[in-house]
Amino acid sequence: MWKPKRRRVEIMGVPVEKIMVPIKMVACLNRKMTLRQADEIFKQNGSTVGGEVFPLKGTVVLDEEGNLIGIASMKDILKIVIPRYVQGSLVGITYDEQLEDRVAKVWDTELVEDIMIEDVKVVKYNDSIMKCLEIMNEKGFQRMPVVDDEGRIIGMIYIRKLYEYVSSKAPVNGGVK
Amino acid sequence: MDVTHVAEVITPTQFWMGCGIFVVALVAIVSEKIEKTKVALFGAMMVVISGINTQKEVFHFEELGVDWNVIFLLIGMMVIINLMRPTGVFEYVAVKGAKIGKGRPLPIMLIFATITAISSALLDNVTTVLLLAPVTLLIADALEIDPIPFLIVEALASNIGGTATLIGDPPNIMIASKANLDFMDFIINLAPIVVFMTIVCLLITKIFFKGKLTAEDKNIAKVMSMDEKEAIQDPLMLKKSLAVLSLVLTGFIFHSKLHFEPATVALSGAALLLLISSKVKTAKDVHHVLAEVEWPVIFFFIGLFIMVGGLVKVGAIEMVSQKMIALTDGNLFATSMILMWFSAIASAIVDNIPYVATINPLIIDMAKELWPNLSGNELLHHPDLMPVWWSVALGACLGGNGSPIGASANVIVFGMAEKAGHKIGWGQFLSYGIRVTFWTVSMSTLYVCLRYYTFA
Repeated sequence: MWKPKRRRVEIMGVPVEKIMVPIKMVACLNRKMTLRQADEIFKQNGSTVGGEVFPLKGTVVLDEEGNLIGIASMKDILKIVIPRYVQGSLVGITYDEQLEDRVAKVWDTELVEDIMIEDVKVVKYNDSIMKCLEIMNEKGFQRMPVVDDEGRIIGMIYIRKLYEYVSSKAPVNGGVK
Repeated sequence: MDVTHVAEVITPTQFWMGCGIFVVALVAIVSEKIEKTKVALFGAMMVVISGINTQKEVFHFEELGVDWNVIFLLIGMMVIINLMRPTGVFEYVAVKGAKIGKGRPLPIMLIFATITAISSALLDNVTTVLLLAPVTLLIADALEIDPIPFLIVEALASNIGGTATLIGDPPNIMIASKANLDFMDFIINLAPIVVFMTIVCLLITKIFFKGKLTAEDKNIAKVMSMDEKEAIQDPLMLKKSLAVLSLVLTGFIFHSKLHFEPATVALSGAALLLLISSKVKTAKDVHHVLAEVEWPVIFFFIGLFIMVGGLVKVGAIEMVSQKMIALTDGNLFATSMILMWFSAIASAIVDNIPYVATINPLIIDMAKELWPNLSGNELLHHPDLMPVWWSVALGACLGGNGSPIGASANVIVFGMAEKAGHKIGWGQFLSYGIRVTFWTVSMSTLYVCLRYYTFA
């Protein structure tokens, strides 16, 4: 019986694989880390610009076998500092040292698994950069895991990487031909 | 509409069908396997499809179908509250209360319980605890104390407070409509004992918790550093809604003198507040406010009314009421005592709404058996029957404190506490709830005995 020969056709544009950061280069979290440990990972793996350290803003959470189980960011840590009952008209009613109390309470007790987002949106290595751009813009993501055909994580794509790629494609001479 | 003559054309098949639909639905509701609104609505439509009641009967005869007075009173109050909630008035009052209590735990507990009781009497219990519980959690966080005793005391206070007025608790709304009782009837007959019970419960709470609730001075200072004015989101809307609420409450007080049903008062208030609200302008805004009405609750009521109408039509209610008269030998004192305690226990175990929906026609039927020559208010307000209504109202409302699922306010408090990381145990609730139910129902028993039988 005749079967079409499977071959990869690059009709979808440049694949995201080309600009992703391989997973072995990415600092990852595991689910049992405390917020303090996660914070240390963020700081150690940040970048230094002009002497000031910019911590990592977020990264993936992997299990022992290296499978993707979630994603966590600075924003998720900030969110947990707000007590869960604060809503509606209670927003704005604060007390002295409330922030310090909350941080002291959550820093060594809340775990990465308590704050991570489990329903992670991913892109496949052969998805186009344009598709990736569309998703990240639509959802407001700063970073996204890249997976292989079996769904295993092989790298990360960052908004910064996308920007670098886009700007490198800018026509020279202001597009004048 | 006279029900007795209808019984002649009822076939045994219809009788068993009517009872069957009700019993199966009730079991499904109590088991909580299927959402109760779905069950009630399906059961209701079975009553119509099986031909027990026609659509006309379930829509247009309140004895056999939907009591629209209850439905629209609920909707009207829900709309008013939904418009009022975002103004922040509840949070303002609560934080202010905590500061009046000088930030000390025991006074705060008593003040919050009082606020809850008053607010539950004038509005509904669920809204009250829904708004007060987050403030309680905030204060407890600041004081670094366990919020659970506070939350339990508030849930209990809301069920006690709600008993005081016609609009305080759904059983009262239903009883008022069926028995044609007005707002002042409830104030005159139930409010005195509710005020008394609230004071007694506050005193017991004070004695019970004295010395057990302590907070450090630095934490008390935190509570005092809160600014309640931050809660007020929209001062103009706040003034408008407080004005409309006062109008509505005045309307309730005079509704029978003005010959308006409570539903008319509530819906007028809702319509007026919608009209003058600066936040509700476009069709989308109106949609938003109306969509926030608790439609599942409303349809639950509609479904129940129709199913109970089926029981009335097939003569099941009549049969039970005859049995009840035979049991008590027509002694209404015994009936009201039995009904008070039975209502309390039933309401602790099952939802008090289906219970009251069923017991109401039963009481009316009983009255018809006892005084076949009377009708209208002469029948419903027969001096011997009045204590029975009050006993059912007291039992059904106060019984809600008997278990964590006995009243919606309890369920809400449980949910909110768990969400904030303070899981309340059933045992923990019951250790307060059962005692409070027992005391309050006992006080009510004594009250009914003294007021309506000894000094009548």
